[in-house]
Amino acid sequence: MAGAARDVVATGRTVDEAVASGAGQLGIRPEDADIEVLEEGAKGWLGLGAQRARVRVARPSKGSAASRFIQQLATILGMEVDVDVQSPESEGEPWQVAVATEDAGRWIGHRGQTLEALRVLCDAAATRSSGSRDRLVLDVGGYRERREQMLRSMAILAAQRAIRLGREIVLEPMSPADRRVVHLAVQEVAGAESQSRGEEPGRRVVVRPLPTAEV
Amino acid sequence: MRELVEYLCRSLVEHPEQVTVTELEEEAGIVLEIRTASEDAGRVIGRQGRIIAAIRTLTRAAGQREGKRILVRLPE
Repeated sequence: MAGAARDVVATGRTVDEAVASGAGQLGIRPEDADIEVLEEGAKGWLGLGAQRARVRVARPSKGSAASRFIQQLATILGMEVDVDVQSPESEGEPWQVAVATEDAGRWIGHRGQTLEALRVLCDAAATRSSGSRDRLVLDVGGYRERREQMLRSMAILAAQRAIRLGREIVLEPMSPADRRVVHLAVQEVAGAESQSRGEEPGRRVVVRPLPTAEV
Repeated sequence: MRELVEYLCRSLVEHPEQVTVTELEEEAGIVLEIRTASEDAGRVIGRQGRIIAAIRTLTRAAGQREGKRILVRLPE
């Protein structure tokens, strides 16, 4: 969607009409749009004092689209959620979407399976409505953050052990996202390297000492 | 549950007005059958079935509380 306008100011007899017109100009759905009401408009009486509604309609950012998706979903499921969106710090970095809810366990699922499903759908829906291919990281109840810390310390321990024993250590099968965390952590340990081996879903990380470390 | 699947599908496709989800009671449990515009079928399935798998996972999680078995089905 490069080059397409991000926002327009539109008018109509009512706010809804103005939003529909603005969304139409941007080629997006009214329900996907970010809306700022500039003037509510007034019906007037017998054509006197009528004032058109004015709104600013914007194509949503990836983060705003993701937040709306999660909130709509929560409404359908009858859940209360609080969604916090952090925009990327630099080009290529992901949007961080953190969801707080009383019912976090239900959205995380066994080993984070439900959270991963939610992320896949949230990313696909937000990509469609925002037109942005930026990456998206979704966390519920701080699960991903805790898991990342756990994986990191496990990876570092495995790397140290591989160096000490002078042989490779084979870890449990993990998702691609988890393996990425492990590879990054192992890179921080001098004298160790890691590699993925096997086929999904049994693909696992192997940590081993660098050949030079044996000298 | 029908509303959930319908919302998920509509948010993924180019023709949301052509999405219908029909609820059927079968011996195996409750079946939710998704229909979309033919050009949108791939958007609901996803590469290597990733999207439809995620829809099934989320529906299962949402249905757990009600203690019902829910199957999400696509037409052939």
